[in-house]
Amino acid sequence: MKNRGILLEEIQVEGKAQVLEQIREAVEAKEIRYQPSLIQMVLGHIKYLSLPALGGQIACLFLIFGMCIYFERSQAQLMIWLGTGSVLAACLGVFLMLELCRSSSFHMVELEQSCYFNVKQLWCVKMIIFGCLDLLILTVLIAGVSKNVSCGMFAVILYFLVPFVISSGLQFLVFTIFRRGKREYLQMSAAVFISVLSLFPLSEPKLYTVACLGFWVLALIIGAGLLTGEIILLYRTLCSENEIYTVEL
Amino acid sequence: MPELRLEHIGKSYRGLPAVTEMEYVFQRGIYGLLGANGAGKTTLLRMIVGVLQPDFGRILCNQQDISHMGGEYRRMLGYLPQEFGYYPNFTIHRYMKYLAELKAVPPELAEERIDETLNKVGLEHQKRQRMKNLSGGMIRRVGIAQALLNDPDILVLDEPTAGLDPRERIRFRNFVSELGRERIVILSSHIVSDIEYIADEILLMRAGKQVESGSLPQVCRKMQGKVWECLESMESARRLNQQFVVSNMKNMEEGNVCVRLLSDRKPVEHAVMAEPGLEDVFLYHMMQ
Repeated sequence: MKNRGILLEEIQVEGKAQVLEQIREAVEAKEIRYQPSLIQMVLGHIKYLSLPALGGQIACLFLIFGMCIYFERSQAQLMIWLGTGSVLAACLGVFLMLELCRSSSFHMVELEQSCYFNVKQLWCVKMIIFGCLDLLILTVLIAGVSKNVSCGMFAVILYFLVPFVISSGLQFLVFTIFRRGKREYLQMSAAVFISVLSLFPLSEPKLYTVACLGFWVLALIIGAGLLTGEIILLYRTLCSENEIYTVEL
Repeated sequence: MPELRLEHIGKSYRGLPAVTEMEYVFQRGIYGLLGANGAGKTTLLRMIVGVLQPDFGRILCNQQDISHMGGEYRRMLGYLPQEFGYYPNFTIHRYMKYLAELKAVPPELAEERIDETLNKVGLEHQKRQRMKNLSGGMIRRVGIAQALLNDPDILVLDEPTAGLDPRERIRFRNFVSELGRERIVILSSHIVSDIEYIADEILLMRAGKQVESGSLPQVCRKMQGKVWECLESMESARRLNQQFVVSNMKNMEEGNVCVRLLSDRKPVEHAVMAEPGLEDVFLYHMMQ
């Protein structure tokens, strides 16, 4: 079959300016819809975190560095390493809770809930930031302590994770039970309570032996279960657009 | 242009109805929500912005249920809550920047929008001041400015003039009038004159129900023949005050009092019919 080619319509030169004008108008009328990624959200939000919460978290990191250097030089005993590390690990969770409490303490939740990034997303971002910092601090703590004690890294991980998860779980519990007003003091009391509690095993050094590792694993499972359950409950409540966290009725 | 439709929405708190069977369609313009304290205005506005969920009924924005629209609906919103919160250590600029981020205002437009909105509320020179150092009126103006940051299609203002001085209120009225030309503006107040001056449509609420709606002439027309004025002696004025709903008493010369009252029938022989105003409508419905 003979190729007859493609016939193009004749271009109307005089209509070109008119068409270009229509395109320009359509472009101008188009709404700019900015949709930041999760990374942009996280990075963008860091500068708005409260100084006591973020500063406290960073101070903890330096404290742990200092503690490791000091104890290493003074050749501290196992119990001193574990006792100090447990108290610090128990205190870590409080900074996130202080940050989460901030919105309701300053009556910002209702306004934040009406924004494009609502309270659910905002709290997720805060949890990501503080969760990453907690992870970093625990890594430094575990690495610093485990090379100076004889009980091994696995045991050190357990000894520090238990006060951390139980303290964080308890603080989430306080956060979900007491939804209104200034909860910061309650959060701090919960952290202090668990910190003191985490010192009790020191009075019974046998608890830090291989024979008792099963007890620590069990405590970790219970603590992790409590913490996970609390986070899931909080997330589900916010996802269901429930107003209990957002409006002071 | 968006259309916001309330379909038989209702909300109760611990078994007590706060809003009942509310049905209304909002289109471009300014809507004034008028009612006494506890009439359900704030609950209704909270449902409109999606902070509260209706127990029954639904709210549609351009035929879409807002509970399914999520962020896309919130992107269209500007909201000033009645209890307007702020972080006291933030400067005005930082506070606006923070909210611009939450409202997903493009970063390259944010500064321009902040300057523009602060300029509208007359706070362009105070933007480096900390929120904790601002007066009540200035905080309210920041609240109004933040509601406009994302150039919203639906602007919801709960008691926007509370705490503003008369000059600020006039300024506010003027620029809200401008805003209503291209979006839905819903504002609530129990200050009748604010609504009277700027609202295109008035919704009167009592005990969670819509008792009256329409333009100012429409709602006033319905009160025709129910507003009376008469000149009385002090003693007689006191008696009328006990018998009828008196909207105003003004001392006149020679110890007489000009009484303006609401009544379905002529209260006294020499009373003359008066032109109803929104205050009369408000008072009439509140006293029912």
